[in-house]
Amino acid sequence: MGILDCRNLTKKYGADTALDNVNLELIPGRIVGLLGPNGSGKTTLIKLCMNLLKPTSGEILIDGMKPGPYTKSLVSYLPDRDILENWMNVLQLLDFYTDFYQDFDAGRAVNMLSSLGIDERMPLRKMSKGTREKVQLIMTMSRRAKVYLLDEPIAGVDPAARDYILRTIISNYDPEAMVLISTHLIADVESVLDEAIFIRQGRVDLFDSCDSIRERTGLTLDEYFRRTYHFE
Amino acid sequence: MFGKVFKYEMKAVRRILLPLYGAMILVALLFGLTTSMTTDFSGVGEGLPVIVDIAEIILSTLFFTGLTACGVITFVVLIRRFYSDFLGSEGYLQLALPVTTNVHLAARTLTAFLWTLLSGVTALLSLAVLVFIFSFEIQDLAGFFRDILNAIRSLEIPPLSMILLLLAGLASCLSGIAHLYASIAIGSLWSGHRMIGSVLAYIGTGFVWSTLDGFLGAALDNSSDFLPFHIAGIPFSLEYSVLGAMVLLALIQFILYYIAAWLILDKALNLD
Repeated sequence: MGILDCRNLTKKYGADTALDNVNLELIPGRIVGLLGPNGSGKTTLIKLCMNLLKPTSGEILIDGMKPGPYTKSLVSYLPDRDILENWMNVLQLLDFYTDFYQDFDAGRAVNMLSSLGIDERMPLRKMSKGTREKVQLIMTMSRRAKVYLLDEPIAGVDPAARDYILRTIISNYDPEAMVLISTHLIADVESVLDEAIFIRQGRVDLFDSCDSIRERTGLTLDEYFRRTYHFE
Repeated sequence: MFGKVFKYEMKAVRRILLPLYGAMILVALLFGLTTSMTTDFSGVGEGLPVIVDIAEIILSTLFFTGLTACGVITFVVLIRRFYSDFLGSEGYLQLALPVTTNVHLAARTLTAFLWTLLSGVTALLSLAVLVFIFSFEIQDLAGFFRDILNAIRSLEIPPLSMILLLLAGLASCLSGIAHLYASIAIGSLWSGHRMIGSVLAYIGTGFVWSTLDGFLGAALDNSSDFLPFHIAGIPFSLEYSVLGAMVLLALIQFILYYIAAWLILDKALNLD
């Protein structure tokens, strides 16, 4: 059994099928790319893992348990949107994470914040969009979690910020943890991935190690993606 | 975890509501002072500049609209907070916490209950400030409160009725909050236009309950005695029976709405 298992997982929105009979077994100690075009079901899969959506059929198990308070204590989640509470400043946000997550390493967060020159007393509502994204990423990566679910962490940020985000992920995740990075910007993340899941229209097209995919196809992941998912 | 969720909910709301309540009491104080000067209780108001009259008019408008605004803003802030916590972007932060749905819901219910009570206390306090300033020439604070107590005693309301009345008020407040939360939860089942869904759910559940309430109330009123009081050995009184039934019905309503909100948010919530 993996740290994250999907068994015949299906999610429908009315007549539309967002995920169709997905079966996956993700094991610890890997960085896995969840790769696919927009609307392929990447965010739906991650939200199901966090119990923010309920499956239509099938199940998800994290560390052998269905999503709930226990699994949420193991999973560090970075959503694809701004979720910070505007009334807080960074210090209050640090207290918030310390209060709710036993695995939160406040020292690590403070170091990362100071390396970026972020004023801890500045209200979050006064920060730029880019700074808020970095604060959100720092909070997520400052947990010593078993599973990291990062939904589009590099979408919509400039190339310099992308480098910072990827460096932060690589240098802060626990080697025993599983990191799932959802993105359609494959060239940017390819170098850090151990395994890749290619997903299209809610179905898993391919799940393999990155080395194996490159060896079999003779293509980089980005080239494979562009060839497989190109529009006529 | 309940204490932690409760702590952050109180913090999130207090930054808006506490200054509002403070401002309301300040307006009452200033309104009372200007009014007492212009009505010249003590004779010091003779020859006051016209600015004091203008200030009194502005403050009286502020005071009376403020009394309503306190209630309305409390209501809006609490609904908005609940809605965004469960259905908005904040839901991605709140619902990712290792906390059960019941704890989320219970902490928010208690928060809303306390702030609603506080808004009522603020309104009463504002009125008390006014009354106190108007009767300031007495210069006897203890006597002032003694007079109020005597006035209440002169109504000759039995203590049990007072307690039941208070309990009915508190239970209605709780059931009102749970009604709002259940309506938002039902609205979340809509795939789009969730806010409209919540409003329709509020109207629909309110209609169903008021019909049910009528039947239940009639059944309780027709009984010769209110069972809990009969068991407790309290002699029959129509007043006690009616008030007791009000408390009981409000509590039943609270429990039903709370369970509905909990079941929907726990089992069927799909965050956009």
